[in-house]
Amino acid sequence: MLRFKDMDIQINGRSLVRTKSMELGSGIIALVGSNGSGKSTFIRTILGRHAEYKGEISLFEEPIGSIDKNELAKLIAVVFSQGNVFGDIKVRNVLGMGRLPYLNHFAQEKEKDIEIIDKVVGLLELENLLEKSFNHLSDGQRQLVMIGRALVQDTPVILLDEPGAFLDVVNKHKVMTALRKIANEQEKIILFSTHSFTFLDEICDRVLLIDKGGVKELSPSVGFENQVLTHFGIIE
Amino acid sequence: MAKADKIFGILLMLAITLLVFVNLIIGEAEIPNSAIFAILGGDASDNPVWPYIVENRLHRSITAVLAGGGLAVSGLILQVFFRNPLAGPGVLGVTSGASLGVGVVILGGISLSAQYGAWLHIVAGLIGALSVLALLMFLSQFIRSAITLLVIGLMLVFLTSAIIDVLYLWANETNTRSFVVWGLGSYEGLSQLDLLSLASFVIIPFAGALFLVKPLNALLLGPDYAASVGTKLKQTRLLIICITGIIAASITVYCGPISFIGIAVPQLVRRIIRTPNHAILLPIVFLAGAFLGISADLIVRLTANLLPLNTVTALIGAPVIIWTIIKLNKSYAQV
Repeated sequence: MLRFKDMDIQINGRSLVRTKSMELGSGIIALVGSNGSGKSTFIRTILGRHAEYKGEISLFEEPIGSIDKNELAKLIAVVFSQGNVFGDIKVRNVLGMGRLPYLNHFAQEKEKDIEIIDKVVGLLELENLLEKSFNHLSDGQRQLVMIGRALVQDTPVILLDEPGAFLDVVNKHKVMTALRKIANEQEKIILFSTHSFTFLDEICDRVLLIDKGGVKELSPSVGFENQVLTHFGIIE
Repeated sequence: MAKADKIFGILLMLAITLLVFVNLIIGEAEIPNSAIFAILGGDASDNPVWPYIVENRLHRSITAVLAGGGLAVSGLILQVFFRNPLAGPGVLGVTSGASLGVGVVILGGISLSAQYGAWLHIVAGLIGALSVLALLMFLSQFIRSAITLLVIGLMLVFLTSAIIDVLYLWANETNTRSFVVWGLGSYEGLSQLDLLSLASFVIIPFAGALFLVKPLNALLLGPDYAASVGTKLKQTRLLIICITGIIAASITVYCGPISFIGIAVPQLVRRIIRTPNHAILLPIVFLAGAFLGISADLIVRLTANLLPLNTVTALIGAPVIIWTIIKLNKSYAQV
């Protein structure tokens, strides 16, 4: 359970995103809002990478600021909009990076680590990519691999910062379907920020709208997409 | 560890041992092989000068192994940190920083063999190298483009060499000459104490680098992803400054600013073994650097010491780097 209490995320002393009280449980939660509304900063704050905030953000009753970095890595995994690896690295090895928080000093994979990686490979159907060089993949394939890497990290929370930003419609659909599949099969809190609203009703359990510095939860009874478009005045 | 990687490591070790022996046997002074083995075994030989010569050759070989290996490891770590296959202690100005430190001391008239000379050289070299590294790491937080950072590193190289040129104004002829000779690079002339000091300045930080295995693996994904798998970025950065700085500075102090090994070796190794795990890469890169270091010295000795070490490393290293730049667009992160 990810809990926010009197949270006020700031940048250089200026308030960016505030919420009195909010709880996120398992399921797929979308984070929408216009450019610069603070979606990325919100995600970085939960990740423990943006320390300028007031109030309390806690994961399983523990304030995220007080959790050791390596322990936090066993609780939260992340996918950014673009992934670039340095060097000529096989997809199998990129997936393996997700196990780093669990490995010894020499980064040796044990049987259990290999088992978890194999399971994710099966779930996302990455078998044919394993021996390929990550940097030679298409943007869509890369993003699927990075989602796989986050799953390999085996965390109760996965944050995705505009995972579909550089993808075409077909690949975006693939990524979103994969997320839905994960949510159906495993109890995880999956929070992703996005600018494309077409998938909201299809795959999301909840939608949070960041606007004018506040976080507003959209009602599931009416269509999410319609509500967002109405909110921004795109449709009446 | 994959079988192929193991075989590659063992081959490198055998090759290094072989080259050390070759270096002991050949040289300007003709010493019978039997006498060389007798001296290594601790026995007396027919000619009282020979043990001295053999000791010199042995020191020179060990220095070559340490210097080559150390520079290559330092290059590997810097390349991963700056996410740039063209980074290395030489290109980034770390060696130049050490040179400036050493320059101040030598041109000021204190030689390596003077009383406390070695310590003064090391401290000065360290201050120079670590300042450059700290400055680069500070700037790297604001500069996203890897090429820009390299250009800044190159400018630091020019800047330090310009400052050294200014220092020449006050130096006398003898000191200037000894600094110029030092700048050509050489594994020659280390006393037993020097060698011991060089060995500890290379091997202790190298052992420390084994704590960097996981952070370096994680950094292949970039700093944001690295942090998300538990890498403490600030601590890692500090450790990288200390380890690469100390290794590069101490080698520069004792052997002069040796170019190209630090940048070329990690490139070559990455082409041969494909593991991204630094638990394997670090030792293999050390061995490969040691191999190149001692091979380069063998060439120097075959020309009766007429070719400077840096000429030989440039002849080997520059083509590798040109090849890397051509390959760059295909396989590496966008620069």
